[in-house]
Amino acid sequence: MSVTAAPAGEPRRRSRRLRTVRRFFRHPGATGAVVVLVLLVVGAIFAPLIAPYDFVATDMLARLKPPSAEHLFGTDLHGRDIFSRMLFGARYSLAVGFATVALALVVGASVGILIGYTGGRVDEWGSRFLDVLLGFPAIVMAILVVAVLGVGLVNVVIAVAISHMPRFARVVRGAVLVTKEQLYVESAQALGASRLRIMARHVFPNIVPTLIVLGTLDLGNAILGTATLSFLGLGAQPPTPEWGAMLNSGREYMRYAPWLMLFPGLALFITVMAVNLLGDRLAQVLDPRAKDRA
Amino acid sequence: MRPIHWTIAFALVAGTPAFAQDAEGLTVVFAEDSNSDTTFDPRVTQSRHEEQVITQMFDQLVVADSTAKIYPGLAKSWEVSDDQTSITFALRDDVTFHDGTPFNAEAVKFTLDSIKDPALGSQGAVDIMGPYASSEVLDEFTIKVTYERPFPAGLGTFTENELSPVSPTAVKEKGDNGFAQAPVGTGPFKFVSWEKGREVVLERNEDYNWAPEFMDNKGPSKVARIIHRYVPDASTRVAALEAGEVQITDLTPPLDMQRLSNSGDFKTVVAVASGVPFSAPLNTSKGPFADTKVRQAFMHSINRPALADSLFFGFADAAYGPISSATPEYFEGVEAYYPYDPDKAAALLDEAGWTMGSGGIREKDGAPLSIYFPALMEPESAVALQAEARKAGFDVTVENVLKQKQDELILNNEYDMLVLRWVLNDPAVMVIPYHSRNIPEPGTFKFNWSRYSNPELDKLLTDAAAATTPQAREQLYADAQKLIMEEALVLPIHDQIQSIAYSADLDGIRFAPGNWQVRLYDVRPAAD
Repeated sequence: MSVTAAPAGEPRRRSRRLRTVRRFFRHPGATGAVVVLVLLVVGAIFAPLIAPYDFVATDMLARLKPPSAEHLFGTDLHGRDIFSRMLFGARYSLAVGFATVALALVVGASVGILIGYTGGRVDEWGSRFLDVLLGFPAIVMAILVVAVLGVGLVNVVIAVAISHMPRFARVVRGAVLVTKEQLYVESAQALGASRLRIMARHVFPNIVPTLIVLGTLDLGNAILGTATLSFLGLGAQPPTPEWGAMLNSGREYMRYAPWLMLFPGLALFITVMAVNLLGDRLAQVLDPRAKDRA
Repeated sequence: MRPIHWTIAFALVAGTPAFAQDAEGLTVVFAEDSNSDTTFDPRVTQSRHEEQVITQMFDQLVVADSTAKIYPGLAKSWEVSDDQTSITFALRDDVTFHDGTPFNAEAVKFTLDSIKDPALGSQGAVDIMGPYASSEVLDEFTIKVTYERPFPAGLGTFTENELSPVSPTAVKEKGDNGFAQAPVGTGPFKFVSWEKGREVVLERNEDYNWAPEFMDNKGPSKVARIIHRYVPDASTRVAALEAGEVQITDLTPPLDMQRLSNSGDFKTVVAVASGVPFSAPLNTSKGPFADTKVRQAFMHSINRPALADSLFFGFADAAYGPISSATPEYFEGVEAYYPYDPDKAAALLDEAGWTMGSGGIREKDGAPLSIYFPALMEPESAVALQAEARKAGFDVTVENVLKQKQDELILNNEYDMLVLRWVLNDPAVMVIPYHSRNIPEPGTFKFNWSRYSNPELDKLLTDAAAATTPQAREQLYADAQKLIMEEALVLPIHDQIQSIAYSADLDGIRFAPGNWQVRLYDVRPAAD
């Protein structure tokens, strides 16, 4: 616990971490997922260097060209290079996914800790309210929020985050209920620590592993959710090459230029699968009860 | 009860129809691209989609074919007064409404007077009717319609669906709102049912015997039932056509048109709609487009022929003027305005003080040349415009908006450009987007989205509608078109194309005047 104990504890802790990491990579699916995600993130970050074309430049003479050496993934209705657009699109799709989960996590965890730790009437009413929110399907909730806020990527992040928030809050509240009965929390109370301090210093750190697993598991849903809203025309606006928006604009030409939908669709599929594999594996290795399995 | 049902079921099975023809006759399903229909009262509507259904159920006093040639309809003959302030119609005496009410001069008077009554809330008809003053019933089948001032276009207005006679009995019984939900006309098809957002069912009027002479068919239609089914998604419409679930699709995408017509199982027909082409009104009241030079530069920066070709694969041509080339009184001189000329665009922008900035976007006093473009229709056209204008240094922000958001932006004057189109077979359509009395104000939705006010243009449009000689009318409308183009109030983008695909088992598809709606009366099984 204390800082002074660090020098002695360091090697052991490092070896424990190393073991966890090793155990994580014992699963081929998880390894593949990490490779895919690293590639995606690198591609997104270095998109301006990798992309062979300007992702907004139109070329009417080159419209609807099938995949070739010149245009790896073909071109769209306006003659824009789909490979370049997808590289830049990865920025939006990933960033929006992460931002959504981060927002949902922060808000959800705060609400969960607050109502869980406070208990009593706050917990009763708060929990009922979360139940009401959970009653709406996430996508309906998100569309409702966008209808109020207006279209655009930022509003989509807020909308999807709000629709995902109640689940985080519920899980965190459960974890807090367990944690707050622990002896060290009671000791802190006995020592006169303030409520806020207990929540922040004692309760929160103990639910972090839960949050990491929850967040990763939800990331896939968040990416899909935001892409869905863009697909419906509520998110990314032209010429932003968000994958969901690309899927939508390719719909009408699907029969004649299947690559318009194939590549963004595949990218979404692979990304979400990778994120889910990662989340599952994290859940396995971070769960203390599953220490010696697999 | 039960045995009868079985008999019918047996008859249906034993019939083994070739296509949609069963014991009850031919059923035709028309897949429609909208699902926003709210009224089928011809006196109220201003929607091309509602008119598609209305035109099957109602007749007009005077009927125009798809080339706008005029034939007797419910009126056998007519006489326009020399001063063009009144028209006397001699009506048919053998017509009844679907509810049995006899059609006569009283019914016509009732219809026209009710349009003028603000309580009805007419959106289209009240404008089309022009300076209508009153109607006088001369005898049971003769009526005299009088205008407040000379109205040479008067006779033509009676070919519009909006002025179709309605059954006075039905209106009085159901009230205006009830009538809009279950309309009663004299047309070849009767209203049966309407499931909002899904489909409208009509059935043949067995008594129908007053079709205009240009129709091949006489008497009741060969079609027993018409179902208008709402399928807003274009690829779904095409899939439904190919699966045999529907027999006719409207607004069929160009590539599908080619493939369907090559397959031999389907026929296709394309027409250029008259009225306002697919255009972008430029907001002259504020922002960069308040400067005429900037508007002109914008127009020069768009390669319209290439754009139309790229989006429509040769099916639609570029548009050049405020009214489409299919509209009477179209002035060909508009085609000389604003050819694609990037150098000219650059020069005009320089003159207007917008200099090229570092990111390829022009600037003036440190502010970028930003254009806000809420796009309700044709998202791909917006993308193409955005990319083209960018080359000239315009930073166009496209937002795909829903109707409600668009209307809000219009009422509050919060846009730089929009998209507009209109189907009407009369150059008078220009009054709607260009007369200064039609500038939207908070609370009143109107269509002068350029927000341009010029007494000279108002006068040209008013005088043209009242012109007593064809030459004067043509000249005045040409002057109006010239003025609109000189002022660069609107970027005409491309012709509105109505592309219909239908089963090769059918014949007799006809466009209504204006080239948008399809009349289904003449449809019949194709002769083998």
